Amino acid sequence: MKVLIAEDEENIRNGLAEILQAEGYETVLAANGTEALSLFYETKPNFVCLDIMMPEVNGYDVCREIRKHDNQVPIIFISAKSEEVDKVLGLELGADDYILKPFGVKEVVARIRAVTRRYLLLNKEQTTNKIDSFIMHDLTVYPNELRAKRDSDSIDLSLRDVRILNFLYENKGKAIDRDAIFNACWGRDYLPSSRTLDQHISKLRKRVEVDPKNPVIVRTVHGYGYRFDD
Amino acid sequence: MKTKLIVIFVLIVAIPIIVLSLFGVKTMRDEHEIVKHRFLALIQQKLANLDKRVVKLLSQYEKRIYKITEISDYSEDNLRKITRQIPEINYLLVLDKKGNRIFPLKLAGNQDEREFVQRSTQFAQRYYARNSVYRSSKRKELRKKSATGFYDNRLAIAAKKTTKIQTAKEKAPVQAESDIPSNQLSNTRRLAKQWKTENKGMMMQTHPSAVAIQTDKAKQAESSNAKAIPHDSRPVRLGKNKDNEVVHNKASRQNIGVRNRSTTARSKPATLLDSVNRKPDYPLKGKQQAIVQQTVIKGWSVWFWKNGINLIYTVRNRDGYLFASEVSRAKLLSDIIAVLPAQRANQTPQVTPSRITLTDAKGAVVYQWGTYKTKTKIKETPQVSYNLSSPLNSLKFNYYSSAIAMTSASSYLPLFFSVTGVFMAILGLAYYFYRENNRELETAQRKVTFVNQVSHELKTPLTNIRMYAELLEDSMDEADPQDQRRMKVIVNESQRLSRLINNVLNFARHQRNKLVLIKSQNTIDEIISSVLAQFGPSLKSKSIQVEFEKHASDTLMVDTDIIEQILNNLISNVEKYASHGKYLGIRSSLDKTRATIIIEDHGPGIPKSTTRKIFEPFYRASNKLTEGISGTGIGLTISRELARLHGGDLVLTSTKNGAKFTLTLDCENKIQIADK
Repeated sequence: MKVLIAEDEENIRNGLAEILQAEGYETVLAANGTEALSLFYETKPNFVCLDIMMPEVNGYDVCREIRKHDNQVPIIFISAKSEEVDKVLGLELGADDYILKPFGVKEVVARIRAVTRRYLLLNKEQTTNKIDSFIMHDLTVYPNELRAKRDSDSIDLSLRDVRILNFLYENKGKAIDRDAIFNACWGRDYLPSSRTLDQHISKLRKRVEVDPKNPVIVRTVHGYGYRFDD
Repeated sequence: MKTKLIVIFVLIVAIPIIVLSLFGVKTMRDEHEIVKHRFLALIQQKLANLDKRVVKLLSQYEKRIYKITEISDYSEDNLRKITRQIPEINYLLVLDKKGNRIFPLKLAGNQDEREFVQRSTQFAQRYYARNSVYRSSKRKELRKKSATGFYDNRLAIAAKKTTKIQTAKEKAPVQAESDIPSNQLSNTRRLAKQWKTENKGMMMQTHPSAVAIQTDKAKQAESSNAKAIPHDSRPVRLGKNKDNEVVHNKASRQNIGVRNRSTTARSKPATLLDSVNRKPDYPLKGKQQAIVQQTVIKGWSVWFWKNGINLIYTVRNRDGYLFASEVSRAKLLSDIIAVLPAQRANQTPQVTPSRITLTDAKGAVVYQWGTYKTKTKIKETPQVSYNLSSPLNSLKFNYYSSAIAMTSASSYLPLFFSVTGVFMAILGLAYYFYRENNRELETAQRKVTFVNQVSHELKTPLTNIRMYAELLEDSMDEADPQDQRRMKVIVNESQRLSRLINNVLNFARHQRNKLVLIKSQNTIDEIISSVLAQFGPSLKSKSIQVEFEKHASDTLMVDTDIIEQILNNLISNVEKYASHGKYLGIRSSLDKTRATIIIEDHGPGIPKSTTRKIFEPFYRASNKLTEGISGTGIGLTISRELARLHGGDLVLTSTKNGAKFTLTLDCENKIQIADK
């Protein structure tokens, strides 16, 4: 999924990009409203993160302009403007959520996941996940809901988590090397480091495994990669 | 809001002006009425003074004419000679005791005199005839029959009343005709005028008030034994005689009563002697009989002739001869005019122009003086009218002036200027307050804008610090624990700074009443756990033992942010001020929809004297307590306001050890949520 991030403050823009990329999104960055609009038409993102107070064209106007052409794409405002009227105005213009600065990473992630879920459920045809769910041992994964369930427990998953689990499920019983996982789940343009993948798998195990130290869903194939055994 | 202010502004200005104007107009009207009445009273007085002059003139006429009757030679030559010597009279008629004309006898060659004699003889004979036929027993009948008797009857009643007074006072001086109550006199004048209008055919009106019954011996008779005087002829004072003594008796009252009265009288002509020597209703005795014979009757009568009033002065002298003198109308009018002010009477410039007219019975102007002229062609109405005293009461003074009207118009000018002045003053004052209020609002708005701007500027770097710290912390999962601890400090401090900024912003919003609830489903225990999790590392670093008793796990509709912010402030205070107590106790409970959270510590506590002040903005407890600890003094203020916004409250409960805050919140439960 492609996300357009429009934020005039460079560090915040890059930080958001980092968070979203870690979640599995492809990011497009814009430093002002004009650039955001041109990139929107150019790249056709799957959803948009907008700051309000931007030079040239403010976030409200960008949102208004986008809504003229696309009613489906999710838009999230990320702003320091904390007045009720600002929030109401943003939501009235068609935004799907409103995140206040200073924000915590977990809050941003949770909100973006929520918006993504809604988007995926509404646009099943356009997503790569054609199936509604698949089972990995005692874990049922719902890719379009970015969620997995064990018994009655619900487990939030990121887009990348779903991709990894889906890739392992599709290649169950096979040992998959690191490059293949990177290519499938991060994209070919991504320059991988073994640490990135290991850290991600470690966090994923903490969420989906009953005992992360003795994993049964994402097993390690030493010196090669990972494997899921049915 | 702006419209509301404008309306208030208009009301502030308009209400006092309207009240002042109404009050002013009312006062001015009252004042004007008082001035008008005073003015009219003054004019009345002025016209009364003029009337006195005329009355005085008429009394001079009386004296001169009266002298004619004091003669002893009743020959025609002598009488004609005397008549010519007195310019005040045109013609004279003299009848002897029997009612026979003794003057003038020779009428040839003078038509006017002939006519005078014709009418006056008839009048004089009727005069005597009426006197002679009067009977008290027929009084009522006559009253009914005579259309003209009303006037004289009234006078008779007035005289009767006077007689009663005299009788009651037993020999006390009886009131003169002039002493008869003025209202009665004015009534008689009014009725006389009415009679005159209704009975012009009669062509004659006697002025009874001018009639006096005089006797030379009245004084003696009065001083003599009252029992010796017959009841009928007992002297009763009514008019003034020439000795300035007023005398009237019952017989004379009867005379007054019958004048112009009875048509029966006309059917039975009588002589002069009949009137004098007629048999009274009650027996006359001794001296009373003599007094009656010597009685002098005199009085004015009004005679309408040749489209004008002619005055007849009638005197029956002591010899019983009747003298009827017709006053020269031209002479009388010229003399009246002579006693009145000149036509171009000098008026001082500051006096409002006025005009006084003297009009006759037909309303025609006889004479006028003064400079006032009406500007309109409409027939003007006199502001004051004044009838002259009898027998000239057919003449009238009319006063014309613009004084009252001018007073009316001009009197509102000071009021207008006063109200305008007050209006301008109030307008200025109101505008001043309006501007000051606006200035304060603008200043407050600038302060709020400044706070918002500063907060916004703080948020941007804080967002970066917090975001990157958390990202870094996330990527340091398996790093050195010391690095992890350092990262925790950065993350915690950035979170604290976020809370501080949110407090400041909420406080600013509270100042503008802009705090609102945004509720969502959550449980109180989860919110508390979340907050404790945030504070976990810092509390652990200060060795503060946390005890959390969970008794509020039901899902409710709450504003999570607000509750978190309140708890953040309270736990932050424990961390800052009560860390030495090494204890933080939290107990949650739920009573239907009423959630209670108790937060207590074992720190130094809060002095009782400051238990209220700690909730006031910018107040911080004693220096000893807060020394070296940063804070703004708005944490508890905003916490309490947020609690109240959530339908609850935040109070400091007394405790032996440390501080104990009780937070109550009004929430909606599942059933209510489902209903919604």
